[in-house]
Amino acid sequence: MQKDRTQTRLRDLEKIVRKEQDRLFRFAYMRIGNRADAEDILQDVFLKLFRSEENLKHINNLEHYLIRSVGNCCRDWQRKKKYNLLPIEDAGGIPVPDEDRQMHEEFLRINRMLESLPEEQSEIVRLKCSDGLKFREIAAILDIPEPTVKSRYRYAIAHIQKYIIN
Amino acid sequence: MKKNSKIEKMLAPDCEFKASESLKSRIMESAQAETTPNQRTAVRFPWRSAFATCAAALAIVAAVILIKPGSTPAYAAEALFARAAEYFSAVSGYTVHFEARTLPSDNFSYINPASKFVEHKMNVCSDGTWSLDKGGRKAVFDGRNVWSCLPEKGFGWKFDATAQRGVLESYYLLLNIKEMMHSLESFASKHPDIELRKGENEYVDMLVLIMPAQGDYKNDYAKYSSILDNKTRQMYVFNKADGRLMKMKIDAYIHGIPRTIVKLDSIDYDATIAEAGMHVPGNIEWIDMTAEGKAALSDSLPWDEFTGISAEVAVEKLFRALNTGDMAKLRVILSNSSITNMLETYRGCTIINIGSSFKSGTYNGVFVPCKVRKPDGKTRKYTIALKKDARFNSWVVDGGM
Repeated sequence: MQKDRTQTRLRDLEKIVRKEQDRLFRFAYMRIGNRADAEDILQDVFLKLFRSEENLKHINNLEHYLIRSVGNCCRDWQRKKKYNLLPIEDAGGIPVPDEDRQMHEEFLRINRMLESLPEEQSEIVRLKCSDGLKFREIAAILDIPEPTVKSRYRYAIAHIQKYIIN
Repeated sequence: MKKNSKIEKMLAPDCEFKASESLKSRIMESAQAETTPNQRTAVRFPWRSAFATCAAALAIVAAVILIKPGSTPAYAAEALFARAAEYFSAVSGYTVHFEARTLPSDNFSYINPASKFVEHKMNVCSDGTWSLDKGGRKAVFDGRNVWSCLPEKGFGWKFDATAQRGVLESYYLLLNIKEMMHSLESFASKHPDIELRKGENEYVDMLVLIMPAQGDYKNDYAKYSSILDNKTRQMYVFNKADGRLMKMKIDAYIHGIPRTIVKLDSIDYDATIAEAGMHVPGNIEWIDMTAEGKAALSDSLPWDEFTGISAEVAVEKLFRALNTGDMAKLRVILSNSSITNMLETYRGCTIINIGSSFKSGTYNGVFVPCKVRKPDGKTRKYTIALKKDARFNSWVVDGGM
């Protein structure tokens, strides 16, 4: 009985991983900029989901839950990174693997455009433009009113527009 | 509005993002492992064999041994080395915090790329004493003996000082940080299968070593199970001004894709090392692995019971002895283990089947897969590591239980 239950949980997890991994990977990579750490975060989040699956009855929307969890882990990662002297990859010029080069260039390009924005605005821009979420979904994920999301987004886009013109 | 959509388009990444092929299997393996706790047990390889640490030549370990002060290897950064040596002569001790993908109570060398990172703390004092703690396993060198134990299980092993390298395994390197860069470079130059890359900027020197996996993988059981058993990319960052190690990162190539298995982000060079950190834990049953302790093992024990037989038969006899409580035989086959702990855990188990023994990776013993039924009726699979006792040529259990 217990064995069957475990097998079902494993099968469910596999389905969720298959469906969500690329989307969440893009989400994490665009905030972190390296494959290894982005995938570690995904692994931790999926395993946390697996461990606490029975206590997750309160989750109404799994996709939002996963995005929020990955987002939290990315923020923790960034906080930790801030106190490091310099990223190890940068220290000796370790090249980004060929297969990740285009992805990395996109990460750098977009982050350059967003770097002058306050975090609360840049995150909304990422969720909208990079992750393709609707304002309603962003509001639910960030737990803020939808009009606030829209106004922050508007400010951000106006700011980037100026940045591009200048 | 048109302008906005143009900007929005610019803010969207213009390429496909794909997680690694191996990510899903990694997650599923970890999840599977969580549903079958304790499949891997903590007592495997109380210390890695001399073969593994010496002959298989873990570069970073052997490097430290090969290069002793006074030797004159070709080295382009003598000045930096001198600065590092000068710096360290003034340092009374240091504390290293690092993380590795492992299990808290397993061997220090044990690596599992699917595991979470486990924090390690290493204290190194100027008098040569040290301690390494990863939660479930702690080792202390008090200047005379190495004490390595599993505090929660209540037992451990006492070794001679010469076992320091064997106990610390891959992390032995961290005992000798001042010679590290020098040693790594020199070692790589002597081993054509190791690729060495150098990098630098205004502040740091960086060494990157690409090392092939050591050992024989006709059977993949031990593959990826230690730094040595992985193809690795090892990155070391040194402070340009004084040669201090600042960072270390070891990536294993899993199906060709690098995955970080060890990372060290800071060393506290001015650490005040609390006495508690260097304390040999109390209330521990110590298994004497010193030369003296081994010599004291009685010749009158039935060593021949476990000589001249196959490893499979030895496993069969082990479980029989556990069930009958045959202490004489257990003192032989479990001479490296806590008999009390083994009896508590395995008494009443019956063997369902025993597979053929096999060798794998850098381990110089053999592995015997078996399936047993526990007294509560549940079945469990074990892969028991056995090796020959050097003195009596008798099989002894080396881990996996």
